[in-house]
Amino acid sequence: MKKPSMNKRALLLFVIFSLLFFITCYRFFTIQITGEVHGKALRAYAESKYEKESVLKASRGTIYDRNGEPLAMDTITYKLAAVLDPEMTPENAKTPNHVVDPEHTAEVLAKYIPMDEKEIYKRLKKDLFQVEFGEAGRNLSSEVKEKIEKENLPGIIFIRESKRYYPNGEFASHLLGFASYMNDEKTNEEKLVGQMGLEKSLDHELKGMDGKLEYKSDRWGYILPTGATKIKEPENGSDVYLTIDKKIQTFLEDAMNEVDEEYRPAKMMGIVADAKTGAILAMAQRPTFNPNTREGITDNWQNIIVENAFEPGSTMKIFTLAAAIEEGVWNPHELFQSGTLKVKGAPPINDHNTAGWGMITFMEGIQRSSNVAVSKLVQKMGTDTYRNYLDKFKFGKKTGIPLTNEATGTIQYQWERDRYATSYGQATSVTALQMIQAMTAITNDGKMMKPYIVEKVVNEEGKVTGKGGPEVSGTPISEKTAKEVLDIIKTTVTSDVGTARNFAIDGYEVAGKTGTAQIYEKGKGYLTGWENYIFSFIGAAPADDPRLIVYVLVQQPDLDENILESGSVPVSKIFNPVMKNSLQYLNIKPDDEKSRTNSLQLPDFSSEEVKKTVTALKSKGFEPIVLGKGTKVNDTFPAAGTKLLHGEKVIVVTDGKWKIPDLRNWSLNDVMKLAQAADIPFSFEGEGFVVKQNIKPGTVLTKDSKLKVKLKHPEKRAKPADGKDDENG
Amino acid sequence: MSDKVISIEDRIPKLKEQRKKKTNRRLIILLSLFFLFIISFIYIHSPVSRVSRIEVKGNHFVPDEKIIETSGITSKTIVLNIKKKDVKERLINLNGIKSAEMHIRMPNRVSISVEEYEPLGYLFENGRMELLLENGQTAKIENKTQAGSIGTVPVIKKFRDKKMVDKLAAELKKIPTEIRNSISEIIHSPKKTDPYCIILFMNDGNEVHATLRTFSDKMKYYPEIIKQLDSDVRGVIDLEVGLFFKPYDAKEQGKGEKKENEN
Repeated sequence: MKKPSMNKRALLLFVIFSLLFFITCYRFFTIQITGEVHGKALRAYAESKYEKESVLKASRGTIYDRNGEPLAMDTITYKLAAVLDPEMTPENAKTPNHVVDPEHTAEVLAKYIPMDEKEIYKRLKKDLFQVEFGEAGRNLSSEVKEKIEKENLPGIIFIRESKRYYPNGEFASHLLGFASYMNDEKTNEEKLVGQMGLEKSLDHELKGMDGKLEYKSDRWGYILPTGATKIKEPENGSDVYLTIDKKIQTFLEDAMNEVDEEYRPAKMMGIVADAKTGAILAMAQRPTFNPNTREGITDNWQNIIVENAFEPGSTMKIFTLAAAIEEGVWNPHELFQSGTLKVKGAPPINDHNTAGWGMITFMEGIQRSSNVAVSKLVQKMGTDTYRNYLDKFKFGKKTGIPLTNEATGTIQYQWERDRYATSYGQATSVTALQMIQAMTAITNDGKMMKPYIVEKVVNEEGKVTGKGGPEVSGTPISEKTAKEVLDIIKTTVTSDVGTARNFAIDGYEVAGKTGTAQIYEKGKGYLTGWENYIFSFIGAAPADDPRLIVYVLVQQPDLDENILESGSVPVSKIFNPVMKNSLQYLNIKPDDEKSRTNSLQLPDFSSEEVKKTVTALKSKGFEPIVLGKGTKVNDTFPAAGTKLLHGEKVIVVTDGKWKIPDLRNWSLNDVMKLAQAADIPFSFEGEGFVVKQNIKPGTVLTKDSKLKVKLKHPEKRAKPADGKDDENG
Repeated sequence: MSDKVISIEDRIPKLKEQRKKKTNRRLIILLSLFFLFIISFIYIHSPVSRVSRIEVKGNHFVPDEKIIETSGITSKTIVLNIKKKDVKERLINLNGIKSAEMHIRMPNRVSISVEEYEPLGYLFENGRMELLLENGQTAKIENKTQAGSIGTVPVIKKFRDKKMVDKLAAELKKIPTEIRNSISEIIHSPKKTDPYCIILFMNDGNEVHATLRTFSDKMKYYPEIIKQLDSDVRGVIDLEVGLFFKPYDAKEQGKGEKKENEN
């Protein structure tokens, strides 16, 4: 009882110690059970201390052209780094792992990388674990790397990097786009990511999946021999094969570069497509950029061929014409008043030559690119019918090409005048790709082909995982109409009044249409001036069985106004070489001289008017011989569809009395044609050309007529004396 | 025991049912066989089974009747009896027919489409004309109304040797149709030095001297040659060796050459 306080103190101590003991125990058990300290998993922390993980980079897929030429590929480059921390060298190491002599190191490195010795030295003296040398120390080739390694510089290390490389430089740049390094938020790793073009839209296919390598290491990062390693193989990206043909693309790029230099246009576009399948063989635009350096890309990210809708101008007339033929309202011989066409409650529609050319045929109207002509065609078929055809040709709809931000264009159809203006390519806007698609209907016998750019996607194992290919996107017109359109538009190139004469190519016949579109600028309206237009040409060749479509647009080129240089000149400077070289490269035989200029298939004239038939035959270079006085053609000899050379006689049979013509100097073959046409028996004697006929010229033929001719070799005939011809008369 | 009794009793109605089913099935089979027989009998004896119409397409110089005759199909032929293969074979053996196709359009229409060998010229001999075909055979011109669709092939004269005719056919086949159509006459005019020489008269009034050895190779360029010439001047285009042109008026120059041609 003496020391009650002592008892109390003992109790207090006991309580304190037991509390401490309890806390320690609690802490011990909680850590043991939960395995967490400050919300951190201890096991993971321990492992992270000794277990290292390194990423096995998946390589990005290569983009190839249709012949397997690489257009975009991964290449290995090296990044230079210097380890500065002396801790990194273990005590008994033979060679140091860090930079020992900054001065010497800086001196040597300055020889190999584009950086000042002093600057390098400054970096090497920093109090850091490791330093890099910015752009100067990046993208080193393996040759440079090996040379630096031979210098035996301690602490200098190389980090392997893969870089996206575009071997052709400025080459389909907006189509291919580019891929660059971006920080992946999840793994905190730098990764190549497609930023535009196909690199972006096909990123999923191209990128692949990174793999992992896990191993245990000591504090210097060396792999411990006892530690187990775990490998997760990377999945490399798939390779993409495009329909682009490197050769044809190069033709296009070269031609555009030349025009770019000479005419400095604000913008240019060029597309080459397979006329039968819709495969895009080349696609380029100006201004462009180099995807390796990304020089020139600043405000130029748009693939204008796909993402830009514009008013196409007269090239649109091809499709108006096709609709008119399909609807049966096209009559090439019909006359109309050119110049202007009044529209109710709106300014009149004018031809580019407002005065017009007087009364001309619709055929000439197309050749002269008359706006009035096509407006009248729309009037004839009705604006609603025409609207249907715009839908059938898929204007105002995406083509579905795998590129981002594809534009649709707008069909302006609210006002009467807009409807007519659409027929000659104003008011309504389209994309260049839509024009290509619509054009395939003309070149592929009425079957419209969807433009496509990806031929196939092949994964790492060589399996085809994606396939593009020809796909019919509609049949807006019949085969017959398509052929007729080609026949008509090729005259814009060949006719003396044609607007497309600049686009004639040696050896190949071109069917196409020029376009001159006004440029609409907000606030200013349509721009005026000699060169403030988009000049364009869409053409297919060879005209009788097109293989290629080339579409070229040049906006605001510097034209020589003094010599009234036409806007179609720069366009033709792209179109002509590209078309010609590509056709030659594809081994497409030039139209033989003969078939181009001398041979023709005889058209079907049955039940046509005789007068028209005669002029048509004459204009084609045939010599028509009319039997009878009727107004309608019953038949022709040779029959329709026969292939003939220029200058051949064609017998046109009509009703009425058939009077036999003067057959002097006719060939035997021609006489036979006549006998067949008149259905009378005939016989001959001799060889050569006719000198005598038994029925006098002008005699009316009857059923019982029998034709007999005497032929003579011209040389022998001339031999005896001069003037013998009189005898035969 | 009792179990078994029950089971037999159980089975009896089932057996009955099965027997019934069997007889039913047999009856149906017999009946349908019977009807099938009746139907086929009626079909065979009715006009529906016989060929009612034969269409012939694609022929220009071989007459329809001849093709129908050769095909062996008559209005008495039972449609089901026609063997396509046999008909085709028979037709192909017909002179002038290159290929033949036959379709039966049920119930009883037959259409035959043929492709003929292309006529290359009229072979003229002893006042008679025959067609020279691309395979070297000849065909008679039997159908006058169809003559127009033969086209405007040249008249071939003085070719008496079959070998020469074959050679000519082979050469003619190689030149484009439009050029063939522009030839009026082809006359065999052998020389001592070259038995293959031919003279051609063209519709345009010119004359061509050539040899069958090189005829098709050189004749291909006829349109280009003509383009180089003055369109008002007629003359002889010599393709035998090299290529040169002699206008008819240039008598002085031409004389030596002329004699040679008369050999």
